[in-house]
Amino acid sequence: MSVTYAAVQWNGQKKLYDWVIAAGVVLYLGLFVGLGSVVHPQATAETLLIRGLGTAAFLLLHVVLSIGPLTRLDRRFLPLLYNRRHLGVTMFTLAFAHGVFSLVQFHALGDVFPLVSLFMAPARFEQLGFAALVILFLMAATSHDFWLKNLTPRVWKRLHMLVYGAYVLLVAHVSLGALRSERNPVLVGIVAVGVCVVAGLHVAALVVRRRYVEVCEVARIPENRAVLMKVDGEKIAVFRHDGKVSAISNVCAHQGGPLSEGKIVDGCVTCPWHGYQYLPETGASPPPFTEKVAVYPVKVEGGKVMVQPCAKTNSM
Amino acid sequence: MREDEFYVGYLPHAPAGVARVVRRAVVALLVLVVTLSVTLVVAQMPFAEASFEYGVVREFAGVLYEHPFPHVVLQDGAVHLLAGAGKRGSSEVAGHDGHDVRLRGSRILRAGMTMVEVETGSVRFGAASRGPEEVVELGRAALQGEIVDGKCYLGVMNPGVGQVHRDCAARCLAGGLPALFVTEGRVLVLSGFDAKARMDMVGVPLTLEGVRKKIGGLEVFELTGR
Ligand code: HEM
Ligand code: FES
Repeated sequence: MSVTYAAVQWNGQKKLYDWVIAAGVVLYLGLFVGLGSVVHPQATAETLLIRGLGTAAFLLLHVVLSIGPLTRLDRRFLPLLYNRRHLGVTMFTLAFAHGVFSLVQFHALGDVFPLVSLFMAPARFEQLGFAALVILFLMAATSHDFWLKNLTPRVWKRLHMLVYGAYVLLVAHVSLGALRSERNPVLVGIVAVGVCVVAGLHVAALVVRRRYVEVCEVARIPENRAVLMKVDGEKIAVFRHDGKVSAISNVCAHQGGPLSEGKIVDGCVTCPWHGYQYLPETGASPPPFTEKVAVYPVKVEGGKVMVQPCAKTNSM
Repeated sequence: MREDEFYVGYLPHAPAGVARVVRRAVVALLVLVVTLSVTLVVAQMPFAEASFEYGVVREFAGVLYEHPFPHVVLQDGAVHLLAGAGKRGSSEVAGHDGHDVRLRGSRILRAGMTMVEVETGSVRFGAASRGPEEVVELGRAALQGEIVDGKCYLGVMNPGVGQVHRDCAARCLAGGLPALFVTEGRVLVLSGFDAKARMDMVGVPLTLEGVRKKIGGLEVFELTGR
C-alpha cells in the first residue's frame, strides 16, 4: 500500500501542547523526588523514583480519561482533546518506567527469572499492575493513524475502550498495594476523589447526551417540511410527515446542502441543492444508494417536539 | 464562547473564548501537579533509620557459624549476619561451621543489627577453631509480627516491610537470605521457616508459635507449629 499518514502534522498548537505536557511531568517528578529526598532523607532513591513515576502515570491517566466527557459537557475543552494521543503515550512511558523499575527492584537477581517471580508473588497487586501495563502498551503501540486504518475504526475503538479495564485494574493495584502499606487516610481520600471525578464526569456527560431539548410546537412545522435547530454546535433538521416527526443532520452527504430547506418527496427527505434523498427514520438513502446522514432521537410531548442533540449513529 | 467560535487544531491561533478556557484548564492542572506532589511527599509514611553502605567495602575477620543463618562472630564479639549478592543467601560459606574466616563486604545497619553483603570471591577460611555456639532456651511463645527478609529490612530497601515490599521479601527469602521476625519492636532471627513452600506467610501480620532461644549472640525464634 502506498498510503501516507500525514493528516495531523506538526504545528504550533501541537508543539505548545507537548511543551505543557513535558513541563507538567518534569515539575511533578522534580518535586516528588527532589522534595521527597529532603523530607525523607532515609528513603532510597529507587523508592522515590518508583513512587514518583507510578503516581505521575496514574494522575495523567485521570486527566486522559476526563478530557473526553469534559469536551462533551463543554466544547471549549476540545483543544485538550486535539493531542490527547501524546498525553496517552506520555502516560504509558511513565507507567512503563515505573513497571520496569519495580520489576528490577523487587524481582531481579533472585533464584528465578523476574517475570516468573512476578507471577508467583504472593501480594497479588503487582500482577494487576502488569495486566494494566499490557493493555496500556497495546493502546500506545496502536495509537498511530496507521493502526486506526488497518484495524478498522470499529476494532480500534473497541481496543481503546479497554482503557477503562486498565483503569479498574490500576485502582485495584493501588488500593491493594500502596494503600495497604500506608497509614495516612489523606491518601485513600485522594484516590477516592480521583475515582469520583472520572466516574462523575462520565455520568454527567451521559446525562447531557440523553437530555431532550425543546424545538418548537409540532403545529409550527409544515407537513413534509422541516425546521432547523442548533444545539451544542450541531445543526439538526426536524421534519413532520404522516403524523410523525423525524430529526436528521442538516448537512447533506453530497455537498453539504441544507436539508432543513428540503422537502419530503415520495416519503424521502430531498435535498434542495441536487436532490439527494434520505429516509427520514434512518437517514439512509433508499437502495441502491448508500449515502447516510446522522439521525437524532426525537419525541412529541404535549404538542412540543423534543430532540436529543446527540446523534444515534456515530460514524464509528 | 461566541456562537460561531470553532477550534481547528492546525490553525495557528485558537479563538479567544476557547483559548481562555484552555489557559485556565492548563493553569488548574499545573496547580494540581504542585499540590498533589507536595501532598503525596508529606503524606507518605516516615522511613525507618536504616542504611546500606553501598560501595563501601570493609574487611571482616572472625569465626563463621551457619545456624540458623550464616553469620560471623568478630574478634570483639559482635555478630554480623551474612548475605550474598542480589536476592541470594551467601552460598560461599556453606560447610565451614566453626571455621576462622576472613571476608570483605558492605555493611547493612538498622537498630543495632548488622548484616554484611559478602563480596563474591573474597571469603578465605582458616582452621576449624571452635565448637558450636552456646544455645540458651528461653521458653515457648506465641508472637505477633511480620516475617521479613533480613537484607532489605536492615537497609538495602527502605521501606523493607509491609504490603508494598511483600513480593520482594518472598523472593529474597526463597533465595536463601536470612529470615527475620519483626515483633512488637523486637527483631528476632526466624529459624525453621520454609520460605519457598510458604511465600504466602511473608510480609503480612500473623501470629507464630515457637521457642525463643539465644544462639551465641543472636536472638532466635524457632518455629514449632504451623
Ligand atoms: C509491571 C507492572 C507493574 C509493577 C510490577 C508495579 C509494581 C508496583 C509496586 C511494587 C508498587 C509499590 C511501590 C512502593 O510503594 O514502594 C506500586 C505502586 C504503584 N503503582 Fe505500580 N506496578 C506496575 C504497573 C503500574 C502501572 C501500569 C501503573 C499506572 C499508571 C502503576 C501505578 C502505581 C501507583 C499509582 C502506585 C502507588 C504509588 C507507589 O506506591 O509507588 N503501576 N507498583
Ligand atoms: S448537496 Fe445535497 S444533493 Fe448536492
